[in-house]
Amino acid sequence: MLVAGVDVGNQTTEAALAIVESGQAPRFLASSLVATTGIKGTRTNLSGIAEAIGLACIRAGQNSSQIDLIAINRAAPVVAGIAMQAITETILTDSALIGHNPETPGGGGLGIGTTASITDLNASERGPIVVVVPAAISFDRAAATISSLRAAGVMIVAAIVQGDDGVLIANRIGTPRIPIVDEVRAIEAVPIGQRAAVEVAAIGAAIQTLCNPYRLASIFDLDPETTARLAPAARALTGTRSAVVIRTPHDAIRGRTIAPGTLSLKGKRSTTVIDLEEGAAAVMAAIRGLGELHDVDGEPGTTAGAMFAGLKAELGRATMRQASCIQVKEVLAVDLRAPQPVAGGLSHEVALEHAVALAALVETDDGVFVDLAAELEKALGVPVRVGGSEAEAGLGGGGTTPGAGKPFVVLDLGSGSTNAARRDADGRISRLHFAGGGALVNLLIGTELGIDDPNWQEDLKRHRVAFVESLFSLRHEDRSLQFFPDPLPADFLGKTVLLADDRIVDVPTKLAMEKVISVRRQAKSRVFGANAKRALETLAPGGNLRSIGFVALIGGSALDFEIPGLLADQFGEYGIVVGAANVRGTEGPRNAVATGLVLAAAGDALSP
Amino acid sequence: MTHRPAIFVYVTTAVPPRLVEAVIRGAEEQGVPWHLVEARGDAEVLARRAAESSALFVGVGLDDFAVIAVHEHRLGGRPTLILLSDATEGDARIAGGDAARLVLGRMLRGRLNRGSVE
Repeated sequence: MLVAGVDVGNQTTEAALAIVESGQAPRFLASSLVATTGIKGTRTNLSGIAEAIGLACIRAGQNSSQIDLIAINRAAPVVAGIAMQAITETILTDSALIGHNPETPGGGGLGIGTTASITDLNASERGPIVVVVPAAISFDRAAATISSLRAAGVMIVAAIVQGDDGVLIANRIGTPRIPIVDEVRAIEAVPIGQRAAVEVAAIGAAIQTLCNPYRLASIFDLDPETTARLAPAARALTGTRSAVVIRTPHDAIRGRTIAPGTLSLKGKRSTTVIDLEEGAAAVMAAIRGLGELHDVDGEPGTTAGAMFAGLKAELGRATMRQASCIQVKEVLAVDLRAPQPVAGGLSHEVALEHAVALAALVETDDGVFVDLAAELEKALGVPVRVGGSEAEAGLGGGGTTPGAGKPFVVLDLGSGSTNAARRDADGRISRLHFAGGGALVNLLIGTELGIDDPNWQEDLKRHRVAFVESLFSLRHEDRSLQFFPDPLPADFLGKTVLLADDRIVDVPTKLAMEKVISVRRQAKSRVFGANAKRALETLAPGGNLRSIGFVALIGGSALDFEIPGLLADQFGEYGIVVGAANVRGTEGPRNAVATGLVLAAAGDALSP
Repeated sequence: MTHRPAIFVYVTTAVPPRLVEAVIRGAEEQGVPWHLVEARGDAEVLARRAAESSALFVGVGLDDFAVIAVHEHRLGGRPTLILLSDATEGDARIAGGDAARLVLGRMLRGRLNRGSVE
């Protein structure tokens, strides 16, 4: 009997073709993978299914008309959605800061004084003065003026300069050296006659003073309430090599601050209300405390409310139901840092604001999904049966991985969700669906790097980066240097680039390569690491992870170059064998469900 | 005579002095040493010779016609990386800075020679 197993996923449709004869194990002839056509579970999938079967037949040298049976999966009845909400915002109402971190600040140290324009200063001032230099004043005139004023007894302690002249001026004013922050384009916006602090660290180092709220309190004589208000500004300056903070006290206009609102987590017997401001860990702990989640809503009139209303509307559309009928039964909350412009910054400073990303899953009823089996049978004229659940098929196919013993868990790392299945000693199958998958990883990567384009997000997830150190050399993630006999494009010099297949592409970010790498890895850990932990803790008898022997990873993200390693590392201490599956010893993590469908069909067809 | 490693800047006798000054200040702002040499020829040729002499592999050429060229010796016979005609002081400051950025592996800021960008 020629049997085809077909797995219709959200992104891909896979087929496995095998010859099934009684008394023998199925003999697999070929596999195939094509893009899923249309939305999973609808009639539009048929052309993709036909294509997958056709491709497998070509590879096997078989005619599709000779197929005796097609086994397809019963689509897991869950639909996923994701959303994100910032929970902090940095608005300065009574200070200005300069934190653009220019390439070549001059001098060094900390200077505290009153701002004054270089053209308005005369020798009768005593200081301490922070001199402000517009580009109209050349660097040598500025240096000469500063030197002569200092010689006349004016205490000049720092300089804020419009042009790219920081080092030039520092080299010409002698000792003691002062900190000079340059390339301040909006020099006319620098408040004059106000107390200011300027700090420049040594090359390769970061400032220590202006990023410490308590030091700002001493410098500007602040009470605790004002110190707390200035703390986000200090945070925005952390890690920079140079910075300026200027006090501009006036009737502080209360800036709009975000009140994200609360989430209402409805359990079986009780409801817990949690403020989104407490962060993702608190949200997840509250969910755990409830036991079973029956629904989630956000506080009406708040951004949390809008977030969930939006999610439910989207999920309602996807499942063809009213938003009010949608019940969110599974949520993953993840903390992230989103770069946002600082209101009150003088040169487009960006602060990393706290945000929370949420992934949600809703169940649908099977009725929503067209009876694909009947449609397929009609279209192809071949008997079609619906195989067991994806979970069972995944276990069956994943279990053909050589070396996989018992107890055995399959983790399906999908785009919208992470699914887990375990077959216990009695053959009983447990299966779980968790919100959060590859799409959430993309959202985290895109948000933390400030990159909105979904193709870029996908590329940054899937491929390594490198740094163009010279026209002829590339510094790789592992610090190794690669030499090129022909020069790299000159406009790539000094940039982080993506190594995709055989292309080298300039990444649209000013962030250092190390930051791109850490954002990418953390996004993967915070989604798949967190979900793997939830899955294994739930599936392990008594919550004891040591009782799980073998975990095989299937699904799109099981092919990722670093996710299997991250997970293996995470669970290594429990003695669990973790790795990407190797279906039938040849397919890697692909084709698990399709293979499992064939095995199940063979088992049923041949059993008495 | 030995020189410490530096960007070599080859200039003609009738070169506009403010352009040379601006190029040099561009390199100084980046913290990379420079070494000035008087020579004859057009900017492109001067830049190649300067790059060949420089232990940092980077050379700048300026000629009487306010043309500025910047080259990296390892580029060999390829078009010079930077080639500016009728250069202003601002152009010159950026070109000097970019010569230094080639040494430091920092992003270039000025206009690059069309013929050299792939």
